[in-house]
Amino acid sequence: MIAKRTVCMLILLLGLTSFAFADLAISAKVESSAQDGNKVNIVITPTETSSIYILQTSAESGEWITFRETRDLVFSRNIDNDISTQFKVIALDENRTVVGEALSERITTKAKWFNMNRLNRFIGLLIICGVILYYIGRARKNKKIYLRPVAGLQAFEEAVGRATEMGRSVLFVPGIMDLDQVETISGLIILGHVAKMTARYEAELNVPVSRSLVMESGRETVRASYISEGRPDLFSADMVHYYTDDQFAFAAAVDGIMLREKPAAVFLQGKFYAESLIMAETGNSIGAIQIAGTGSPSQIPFFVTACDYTLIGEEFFAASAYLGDDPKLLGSIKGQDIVKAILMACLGLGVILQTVFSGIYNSDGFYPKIKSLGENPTAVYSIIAEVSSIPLEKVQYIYSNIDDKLGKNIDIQGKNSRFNAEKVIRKLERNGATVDLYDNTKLENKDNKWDFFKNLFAGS
Amino acid sequence: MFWKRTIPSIIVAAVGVIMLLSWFIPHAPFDELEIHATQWYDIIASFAMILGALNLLKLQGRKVVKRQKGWAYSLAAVLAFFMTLTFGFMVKGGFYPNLESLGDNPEAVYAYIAEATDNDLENTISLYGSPGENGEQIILHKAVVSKKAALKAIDELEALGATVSLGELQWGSHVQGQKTYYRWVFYTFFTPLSATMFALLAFFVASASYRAFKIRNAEATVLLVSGILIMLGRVPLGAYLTAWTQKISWLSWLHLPTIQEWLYQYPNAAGARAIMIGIGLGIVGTSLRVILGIEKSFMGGD
Amino acid sequence: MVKSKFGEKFVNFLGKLDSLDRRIIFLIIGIVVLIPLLLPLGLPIETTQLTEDAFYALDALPQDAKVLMSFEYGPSTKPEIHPMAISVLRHLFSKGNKVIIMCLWPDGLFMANEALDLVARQEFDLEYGVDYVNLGYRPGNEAIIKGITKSFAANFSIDAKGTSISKLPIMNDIQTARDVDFIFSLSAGYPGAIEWVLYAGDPLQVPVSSGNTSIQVNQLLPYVKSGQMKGIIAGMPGAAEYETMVIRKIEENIGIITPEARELLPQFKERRNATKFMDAQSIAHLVIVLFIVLGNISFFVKRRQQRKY
Repeated sequence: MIAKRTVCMLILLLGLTSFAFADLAISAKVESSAQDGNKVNIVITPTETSSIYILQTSAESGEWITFRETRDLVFSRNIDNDISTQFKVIALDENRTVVGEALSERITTKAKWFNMNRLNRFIGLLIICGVILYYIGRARKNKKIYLRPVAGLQAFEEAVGRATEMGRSVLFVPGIMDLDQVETISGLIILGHVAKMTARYEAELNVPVSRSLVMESGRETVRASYISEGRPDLFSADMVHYYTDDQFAFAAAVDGIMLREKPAAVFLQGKFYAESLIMAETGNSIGAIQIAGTGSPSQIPFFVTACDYTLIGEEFFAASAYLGDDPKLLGSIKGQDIVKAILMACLGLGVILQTVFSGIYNSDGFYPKIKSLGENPTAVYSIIAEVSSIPLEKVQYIYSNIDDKLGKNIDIQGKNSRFNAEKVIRKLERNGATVDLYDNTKLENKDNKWDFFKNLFAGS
Repeated sequence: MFWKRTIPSIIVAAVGVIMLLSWFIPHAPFDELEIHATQWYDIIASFAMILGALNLLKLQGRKVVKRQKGWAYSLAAVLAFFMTLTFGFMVKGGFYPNLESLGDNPEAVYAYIAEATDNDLENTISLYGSPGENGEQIILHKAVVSKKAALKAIDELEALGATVSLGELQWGSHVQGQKTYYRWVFYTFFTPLSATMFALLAFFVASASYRAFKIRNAEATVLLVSGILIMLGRVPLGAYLTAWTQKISWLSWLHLPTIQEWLYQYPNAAGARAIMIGIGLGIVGTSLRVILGIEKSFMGGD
Repeated sequence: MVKSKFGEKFVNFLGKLDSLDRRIIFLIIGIVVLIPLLLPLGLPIETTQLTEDAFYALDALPQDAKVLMSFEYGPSTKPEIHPMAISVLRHLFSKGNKVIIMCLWPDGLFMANEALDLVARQEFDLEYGVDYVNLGYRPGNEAIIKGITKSFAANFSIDAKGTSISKLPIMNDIQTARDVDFIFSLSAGYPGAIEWVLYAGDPLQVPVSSGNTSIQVNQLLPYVKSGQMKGIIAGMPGAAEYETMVIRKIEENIGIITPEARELLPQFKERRNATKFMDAQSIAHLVIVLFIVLGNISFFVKRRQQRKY
């Protein structure tokens, strides 16, 4: 009798244990949107008692390496491409007693040969390059291309001439960044043209630089310009000289040159940052004619304020075509302009479509507030992941525990118009969720923005 | 000409095309090309710094030797260069006494440490009460702690019965470590000088605004008005002066921070976007010209 | 007669102001900036949407989140960016978040050490290697950002103190930048927030926000509007707003707050550098506006005089 009871107890215990062990599962799935392969989404199905999970991974060598201890049920992990990898989860309860162990299938990630997520950019690149190349080809055959006059570029020769007449030097600063910036290369191209003018007019040229490679490249440029003008005797390698890499120390050095040597013409052509106004104002204070050009949008206002002429944006990059008058260069400028026209047309069309289709509810500040997930949480999670651009696993984590009185808001990624919010609400309600519309535009909400803040993160 | 012009052009074209295409190809070896290329460039630029440094020393040194105008400033530049070089590569400081045990006379040891570190006794006891396995670092109250100063402190602590060893920072981490010469140079010279140069902007902005913001035409007027609205709206004073408008719903739009935010986020962002698109196109055009070899003047070509 | 002579003299004086020596402008600006620093006005700080977005994004992170903070500024921009670095660290530590710090500017390393010394060591007394880590500076600009999207260990094998990162518990489950929950860049230029968005945030879909100088906000706004960045802390006004929000969060007991943060609240209220400096900035802006108005009056007077003659 006792033996029978013992056997029954053992069978029951085994049954319970196997029940407990049977529930724990781990699955690993290759993330399909990761075009570079190597991203795996791992999902754990817990047991009744498990709360802490130790995760291990094993590559082909077979050795298990612990990489995480967590209470999360979902997350992502990067693994090496082309190597078969397996995951193991060891589940613990609150007393850190092992309550289960599970293995995933072996999984291998592979990088793709073309990143489909970047297909639209590839097409854009082909269009832009195609248009520019087409116009370069056309310009070779038909040399007459009209470019509108740019005051700053026409003033180059005037500035160098002024310096010659006054017997003072020309100061040229090709920016403060290195040769890896396209603006620096453009600055050096312009330097080549200015050097030709100074060689022609026999004006003194001073080019302080902030990077050693720019110094070497600048010297080559100036040397070639002087040789092409037939004045190699006027060239000196010390015309292009290095001061320091530090931004403000360089600005101080350039200011020192301006105040001591008082150049008659100052060219600031390249990539600048905050030191731009310091240099431009100092140049203004000594009465020099200043021509600036930069690809840094935030510095353009300072140059416009302090300099006599400023090349804004594309004008700076087009300078070489203006000054050189080479048909191929002119053709590339024309191609750029055509691309810009195409972009403007697309922008205009986009604005019209957005205005028409978002209707009168074009405001911002409306959020679907989800109160319960309903009977189909999987579909609801998918919708939330899609509209808020949050990975599905994170959505499951954030929205799994919702207080039905407070609810939880869904941020539709910067497009929180009433129209969009109502559209999302209808979609969620069709999938069984209970959702309200939260209106953050009302005055009382704006007065107390912290109400919204509390609501957004209530229960998290 | 072949080595100076043709070979560089071929390299530029080949590398340019490969780097462009590698952005779209996540498969090896293209996936890491971008990283490697950027790192190679940084290594080359770092070594090229030697050229710049030699050029700086040559020109500034020449000014000093020939006593040209402003030679004193050049001397300062040369001395500062060598001083920083010395503190970066040759003399680091950053030594410290490492307290391993308090010995039989802990009160005296605490008192000494409190004075040497310019700390109060209570704090000193809590910090050094139980030295760990690797000892406890005593940070002496000096600008820089040389080996000699550290050894002197060690001798005095050992005379009080404590067990102390000499600790020093590793080369490399000494650059930002406590009580090193390099750190002293950074905080004593470099930091105030950099801050001063940046602070000049405030004054220059005022003088530039005074000179340039004139109502010459319609565009200048719009610039002026929007500049004033943003300048006042961006600071607490603007919110304070127009706080009363928040109490009347149909006047709430007159609240300066609201106007400022609208100007910032809509017309200003639109203008910035337009310029950035233009600059982006300009960069594409210039890069294409460089890759195709149409533009060679920056390499010394025509 | 006397009145009209005085009036004429006054008008002539206004006309001459058009060519006012800039040194007088510098002197006046210097004085008006100095006075509020010595005699604070205590103007209330009102928060703006850009800062609020950044704050909410960081506050929404769960308690076990790890934030990567990158220090890309130096002593020149320290007055603007350092207060926001300190505020953000206080915010994150007061929620129990862990912070991984790296620097893409060499000066950033010094700034990071200063900020950590104040907040992590003196205020919160946190454990290095467990609650926070300073990985140090690496040269390479955006190459480092691209590198950490593939492997942290390959780019940061040791931290700033020379300890192998494999020995640091905080880095246990961080293989790549994808494994962090948020990237926050404190940047004053290049490399900075734009590079973080382009090479890490956007490709890896890791949320990015940044604290920048006021000048850079223009360039970054398109990224905020497109949703690629979660708000910006813009310059010293942004830093003052963030300080205010951190204090208000603790005072009104919103969200996750650790007991240490509640105890530190009085210290946070006292050490609000950006808020203190905003008085000076307010007065400076007002004076610049007055200069602009004066300059225009002078411009019109001079133009009228020239037309007259």
